[in-house]
Amino acid sequence: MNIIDSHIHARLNDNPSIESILDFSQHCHIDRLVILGDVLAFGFFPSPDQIKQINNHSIDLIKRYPGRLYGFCFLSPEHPPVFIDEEIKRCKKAGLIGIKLEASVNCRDDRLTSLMQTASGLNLPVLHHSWYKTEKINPAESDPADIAYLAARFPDVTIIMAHLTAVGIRGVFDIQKLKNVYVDTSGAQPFSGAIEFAVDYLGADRILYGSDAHYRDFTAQLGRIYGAKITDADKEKILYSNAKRILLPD
Amino acid sequence: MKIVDVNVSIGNWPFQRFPYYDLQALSTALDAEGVSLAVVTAVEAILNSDPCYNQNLHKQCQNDRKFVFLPVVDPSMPGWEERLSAFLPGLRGVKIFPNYHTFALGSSQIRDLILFLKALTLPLIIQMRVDDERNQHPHMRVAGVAVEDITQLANLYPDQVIVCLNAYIQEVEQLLQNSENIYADISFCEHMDTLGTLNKTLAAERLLFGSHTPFLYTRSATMKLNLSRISKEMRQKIAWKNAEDIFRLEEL
Ligand SMILES: [Zn+2]
Repeated sequence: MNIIDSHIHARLNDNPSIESILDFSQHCHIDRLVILGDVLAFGFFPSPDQIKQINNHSIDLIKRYPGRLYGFCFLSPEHPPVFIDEEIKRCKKAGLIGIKLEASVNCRDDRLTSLMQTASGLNLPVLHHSWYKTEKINPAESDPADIAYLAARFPDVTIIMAHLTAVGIRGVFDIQKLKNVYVDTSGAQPFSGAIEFAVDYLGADRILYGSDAHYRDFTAQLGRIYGAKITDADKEKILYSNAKRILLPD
Repeated sequence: MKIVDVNVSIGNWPFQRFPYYDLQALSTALDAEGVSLAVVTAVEAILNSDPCYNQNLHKQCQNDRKFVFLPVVDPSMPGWEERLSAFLPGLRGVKIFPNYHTFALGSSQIRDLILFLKALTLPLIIQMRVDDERNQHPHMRVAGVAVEDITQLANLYPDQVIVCLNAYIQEVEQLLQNSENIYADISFCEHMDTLGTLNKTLAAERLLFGSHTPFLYTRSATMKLNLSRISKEMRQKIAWKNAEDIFRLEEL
């Protein structure tokens, strides 16, 4: 079976090295990987220059490993719209295929408006961090209800909500009716039942396999999918064909 | 390859729906995942001090060659020694939840428990956490057991084997570096090529296969074990040899 990992991180300091990530992913039969950037390399609030540094790193990696690595353009909505707009266009031209947002600005904030409009115009998917946390890592961190709010405002933008296990039952219900929202399987330990629950209430068509490697292990993260009590056809959608359709159309 | 799983539970946990609740179904599921033998505890005994949960599971595990019964003991609860003695002979170790049962690892009750275990050459199993602290119910929060507290205890009793379950990878590194009598399971340990990575910084000699089934997908642990880049000898140690020594399973 072909496998696409739609959520990994490669470090600016190359530790672990990109070669070791590619090597171990191949060992786990993962053909293609989507790098979201070293998003916390400069903390939660990177400067525009630091954003460029992170994106240049991703661009460099996809150029070095075409057909194996794909990349997202990392942004912070607190930066001026002119910068964001230029950065999206620069990254798209260089081959990046989506936008990654982390936790610098809550996604209900008005500062996401122009960014989302650009994403819509250029037909770029947006992968957004999300978590229902007992204690937020910072006050701006978005939870699934925030993601649902954003998705309702921009129904023609494909949004990938990160971290299925961490968003839990409430998170699945938050986005259930918003058909432009997908969820990736990364986040937290491989708690049983999460995949089955998402398949039951969202359908396998809306779930993407993502590992959050190198922080996490491809092996344990694939184990959630292989170990889930779902059909082989659903596993294939989660591991490959959904990501192929949404992120890597021919 | 034979796999002994030192971190398996059975029963109800209010925060998660499990795929099965009886030993027979658990046995079938573990067979399918390639687990030959499982050290099993009663989930209910974490939150409920009624001795019936240990007793029922003990009864069920007798004459079952798939499971090794591991009682949960709260050494701050009067009469624990008598109740524990009822599981002799055949007792293979004792599991404690210091954070759920709110006793300190430096307390005199722990000293008594360790004396009990030492007399029988049995390991002390410390389960450091059950779930991810970040996702706990806001009014039902229980912190993980502190590495420093376990290290202090281990260094106070250097010939007592202590097995730590559900430690994060940084905690495993600290625990194994700090004390030679500490072992840890791999269930909560994660980094790209988890075991290969751990093997670079410290001897993965004292790791044990533990899946934290049914809380976690068993497959995540078996894939972590089978795909990690470690030698065959190391894989065997982690998969079953260490567990066999610690729990004296060859005597079964
Ligand atoms: Zn991530």
